[in-house]
Amino acid sequence: MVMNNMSAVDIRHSLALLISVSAALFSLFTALSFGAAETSLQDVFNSFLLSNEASFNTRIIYELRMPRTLLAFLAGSGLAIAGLILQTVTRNPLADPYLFGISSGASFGVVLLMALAGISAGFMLSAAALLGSLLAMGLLILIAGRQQSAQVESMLLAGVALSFLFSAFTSLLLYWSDPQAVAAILFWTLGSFARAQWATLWLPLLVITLCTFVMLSFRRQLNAMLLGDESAITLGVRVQRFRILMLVLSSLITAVLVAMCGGIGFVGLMVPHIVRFFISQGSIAGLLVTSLVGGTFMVWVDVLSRSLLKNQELPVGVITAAIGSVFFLSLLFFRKRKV
Amino acid sequence: MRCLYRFNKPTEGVIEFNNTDIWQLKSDEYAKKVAVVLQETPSQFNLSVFDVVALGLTPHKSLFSSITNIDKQEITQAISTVGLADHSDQSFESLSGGEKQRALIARAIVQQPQLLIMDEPTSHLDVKYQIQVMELAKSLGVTVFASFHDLNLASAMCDELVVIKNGEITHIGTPSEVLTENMLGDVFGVCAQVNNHPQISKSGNSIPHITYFYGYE
Repeated sequence: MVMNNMSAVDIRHSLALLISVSAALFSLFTALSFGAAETSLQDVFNSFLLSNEASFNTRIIYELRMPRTLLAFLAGSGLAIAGLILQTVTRNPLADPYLFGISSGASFGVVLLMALAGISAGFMLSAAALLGSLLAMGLLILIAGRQQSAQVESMLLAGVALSFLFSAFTSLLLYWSDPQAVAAILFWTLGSFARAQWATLWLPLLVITLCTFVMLSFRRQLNAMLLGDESAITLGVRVQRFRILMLVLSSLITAVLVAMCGGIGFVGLMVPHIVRFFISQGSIAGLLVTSLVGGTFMVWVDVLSRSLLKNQELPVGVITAAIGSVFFLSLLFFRKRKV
Repeated sequence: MRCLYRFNKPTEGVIEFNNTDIWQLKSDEYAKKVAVVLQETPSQFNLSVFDVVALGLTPHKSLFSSITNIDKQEITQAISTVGLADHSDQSFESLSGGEKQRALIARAIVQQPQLLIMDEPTSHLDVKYQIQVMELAKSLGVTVFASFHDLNLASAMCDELVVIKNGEITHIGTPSEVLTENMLGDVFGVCAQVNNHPQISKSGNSIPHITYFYGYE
């Protein structure tokens, strides 16, 4: 009877995995047919089969929408995984990749470049964002790494403080900049997948795949952290070092994504919570489903951003934050009723 | 207690386990030998009972290995040993205090230790569960090292008692050697009478039972 019970859990996990894999594939495919230019699913098919024969629609799909949709998927899954990891190692349900000052570091880098060099587009911008977020990450690890006790608290507080520090510098620079730069920066911080190109897609793909793989192999240690530092130590986890490693990995994911897509808030916070409603995060399935759901969600957010307004693109960050806060408020509301 | 399970490093002296300094061992090596059941375990996230018990495998598994069917059987076996078979899919957080302790004991079973350390395993528990949890721990066939506030429970459950006051060991020995009216007065500052419990322990020794007196004002 116990064995039956067990396999019921297995079945539910496989089912959840199956559903999220098919949802992800379906979304990646159908999302390609949405956009300013009228295209059909048939065109999408053609773009897969005959990428050499360049009809106008298939070229739009292959050269513009495909890298963009893939980047959206990668961003969503990367942020969701990073959020899950940070929530786990800090045991704080509010932890999210942006709480630790990484995105404000990136914004600072971008603003600094725009203000000093006058550059407002292109590869240099991503590089500046990456450097800015790595700087923030370095400072955070320097502070959290020195702490022997109360590491979680100092990590969270230092993250929030860093994020305010960088925002202060950013605001100061913006104050002295001309209005055009301010508009460019605003657009950048709100996030967009418009800069996606096949040529640069390998970087987030590599970073996210590697980090996800490492996190999957450390899943027991991650679960052990959920029951408290003391308990994790008794299971042979070297808590301080492990937490720093996980912080580095999730910061790396965030830094790369912020550099490529700008600030996209709330996904990292929200998706792990949604998945936790349905399956235990302890299993491999839990981690994979989180990343798939994150990706799928982001693909549809991108579709919305392209198609909500005619001839105009809504910033992705606005949509995720709007959906995110409504979700969060309802989460709080229903939690209160359950008690 | 925290020094024993390597949460704090002692400022002086050495803690030895089987004649090796515990700080010389690698952390997962030590975790294979010593399992710990802590007093209160926080968990806001929805780990299921099965997941929590499966954590006992952590020190035994290399990074990339997955749970085999044998492991699964071991985990299921441990869960039914502690009588939580019906709850294995439930979230750990939804268990009662006693059930949580039992789930953590199941985790310790999966960990296959030589020594089980329990930090006040019976505080916050109802009487029935206090007895249940301790008898369960005793039945595992490994050495159990536990701290107690309830001296009568300690007397009934333990083969040997150690009394510590201000960081120093003041008394050590069998329950009947340690639990005397003098000791209770000196160390705990209470007035009490020590009788024999009507039940006799399995090893045939009598169990001292303390009756406290009240009215100290």
